Amino acid sequence: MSENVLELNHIVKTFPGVKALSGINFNLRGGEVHAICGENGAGKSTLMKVVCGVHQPDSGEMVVNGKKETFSNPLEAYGKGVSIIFQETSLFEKMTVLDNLFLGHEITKRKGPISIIDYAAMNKKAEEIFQRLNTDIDLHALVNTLGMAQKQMCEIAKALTFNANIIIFDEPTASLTNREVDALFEIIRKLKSEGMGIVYISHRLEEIFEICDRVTVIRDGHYISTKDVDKTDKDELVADMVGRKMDNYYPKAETPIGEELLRVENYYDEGFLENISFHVRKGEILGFAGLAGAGRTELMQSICGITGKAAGKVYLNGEEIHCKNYVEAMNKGIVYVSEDRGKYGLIVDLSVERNISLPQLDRLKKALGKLDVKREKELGEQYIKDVGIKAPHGEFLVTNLSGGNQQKVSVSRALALDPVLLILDEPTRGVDVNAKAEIHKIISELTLKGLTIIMISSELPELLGMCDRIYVMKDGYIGGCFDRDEVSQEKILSVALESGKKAGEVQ
Amino acid sequence: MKMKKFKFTYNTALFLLWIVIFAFIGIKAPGFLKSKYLINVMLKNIVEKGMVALPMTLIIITAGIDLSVGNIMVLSCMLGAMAAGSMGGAVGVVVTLVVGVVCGVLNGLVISRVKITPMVTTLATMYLYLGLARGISEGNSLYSYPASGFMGTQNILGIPLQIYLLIILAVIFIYLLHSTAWGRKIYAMGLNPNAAEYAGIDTNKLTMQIYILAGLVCAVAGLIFLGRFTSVKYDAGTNFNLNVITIVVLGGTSINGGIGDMRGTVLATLIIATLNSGLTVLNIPIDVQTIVQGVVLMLALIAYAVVNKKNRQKRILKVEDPADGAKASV
Repeated sequence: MSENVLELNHIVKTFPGVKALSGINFNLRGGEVHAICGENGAGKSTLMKVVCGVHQPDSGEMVVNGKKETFSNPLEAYGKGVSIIFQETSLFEKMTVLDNLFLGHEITKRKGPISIIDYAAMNKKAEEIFQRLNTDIDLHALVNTLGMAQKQMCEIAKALTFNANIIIFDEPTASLTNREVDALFEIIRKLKSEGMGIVYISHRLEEIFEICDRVTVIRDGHYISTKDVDKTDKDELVADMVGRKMDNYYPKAETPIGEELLRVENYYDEGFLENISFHVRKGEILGFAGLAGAGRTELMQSICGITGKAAGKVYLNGEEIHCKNYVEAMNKGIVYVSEDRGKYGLIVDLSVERNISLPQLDRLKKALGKLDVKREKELGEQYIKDVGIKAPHGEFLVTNLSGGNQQKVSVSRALALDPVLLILDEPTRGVDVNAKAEIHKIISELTLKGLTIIMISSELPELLGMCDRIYVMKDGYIGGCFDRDEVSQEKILSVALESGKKAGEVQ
Repeated sequence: MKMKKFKFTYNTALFLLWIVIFAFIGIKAPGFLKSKYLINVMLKNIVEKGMVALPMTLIIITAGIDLSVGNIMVLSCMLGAMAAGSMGGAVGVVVTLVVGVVCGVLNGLVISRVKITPMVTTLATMYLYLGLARGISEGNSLYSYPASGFMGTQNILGIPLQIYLLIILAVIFIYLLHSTAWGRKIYAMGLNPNAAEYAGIDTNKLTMQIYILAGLVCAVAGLIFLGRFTSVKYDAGTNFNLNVITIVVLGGTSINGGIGDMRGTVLATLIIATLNSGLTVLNIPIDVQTIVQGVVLMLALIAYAVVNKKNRQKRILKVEDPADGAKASV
């Protein structure tokens, strides 16, 4: 093995309210493929964004090709030989392949006083690179005529135009077919044999065992372990990813569980959700686990009538319902709290009380459509007190609150609607540890008051600690269901990480 | 915790600006201050624009825009005049109002259902309504009829009818925007349409409502316009669109949506009215008048930015205590 091309020592990165990375160590040798794995939100992508200059670390040292570097933007990183290939390609759809490859660092030649783009030189270099990659993509085709795999090829070629010797792949196989994955691995092996260092981020464990030499596990922003792939196995990796200790004191209250509140049967939509059946009983906290993109959010939004058309049967209290839009669902007592507070949840430029009243403006109307401002104020004050929002008064703007308190406003807003079924989508995302515990406590207290809760979360400890039952979703269907007393992180992950085919057979 | 302190808002700034302009012109040309001139020239000339600026404020707060208002006004009053010619004044008025509503419906439908941006949609309908007005009138003028003449020339207690109408509409719109649940939805939609929809607000319905409202107010303005000038040609609404938008923007409504004040629009209407007629009284040539308007708008917008920045800084200072509290508890 050759020497290290990339070394990260004690990288720390904090975002307001969250410590995303706390002291990560990582090294990459030339001619190896080094995997980084961890659960959703473990900090994989943040780490790589630090490496390629999208984020700047708070502290820690980065050594690239033997020299200490700090990148203030991705272009600098490219210049020093670090390239990243993101999940979603960053190509410009309406430009040709060639233009994309050299965008921002076009080869130019001087013609008199002005420099112009030297297409001939660019063409020549691009052709060389494509030959190296053994691909026959037309350099002059528009990017939007290419398939996913070809676009990825262009991304790789683009990295090579910068003479990169460190390439980071962020979930490269997420949208590829099996054959395309094989072709990609072929190229990765070739690049590796040329002496490049490759970082491979994926949570498909099979792939890591197929293509990688070493694997580093991170969890909750902490460095856990680095192992040689041929000296470890899947179980050991999963154990590292989830951590053995369950160091949480989830304040789950023992609530009597009543009859069935909601039953969903053979639910499907135009293409993504498949044949979903589940039920939730009164007083239960029902968890939905799965990887990002497994269809949990889509399912809940669809049931609430927020998105798209779907078919199947939904029963509330034994009565069949169809919510054509979200207002109907709200009036029936089904309330959804979005995972993306800033985009779909709160209006951050409005005050706390105005956010709480927003979904029920029509209920706060007096004669002549006049808004009952007094009632609005009371609601605001009431929830600031009950839920413990750290705002001095109801007129305080939401944008000035911390993530945890914003989340409390979201929950308050839902509670103000007097729901019977509360659907919380990632209720503790982007929230610090302390606020997390508070939100868990609030959720727990709600069930004591007779509320039923469906909780989507990508944090397994949270689901395990809070839920009575957990469904695991995968690629738009339900892959399994576990009761509180039989569930473990390993069981959930093994269903969620199962490759598509296998899980299909299980079903 | 409540402190009722005088706050220097943008509306205060607008009001002061108006007083300064008014006083300046009054001193330079005492004739300007005669109530007859103020009412019959200054106010009467702005009524149509002032009216249409009211629904335009709603539209711009939702982050939309309507470039076709002047053309809706002209098209509706033209078709109304033609109907009045053959079927009588009552039918003429009804036709005018119906045409205004239909034009608003078309704008609203394309924007909310086909999801074409308001700017492009109303740019297209602007030409559509202009072309229709020209085609239907064959380029000729159409003349006022008694009902529209009544709207445009009737005085009550020495004050023209249309000024009462403007005041009534202004009161209604201030109420709608600032006191009703509906008005709150308009702000929510302008600040974050996604979040508004996730709060169960039907933004499509809201879009339809405001564009239809704009169409209707344009039609009313059209009746007054035709009555006041006794005849109308298809291209009469050409500068109208931008003038109305100028008033709204001067009034402190953000073109990005979510921020705005109906009272600011009313104040801006007064400022523009004073400038228009005042500069004429001062015998300032029309090209210089246009320059002055541009400068005033520019100054107002700079003042707006300054006032807002100050308020924002105050807000940030205020935040620190709860944030500290949060830190302490961690």
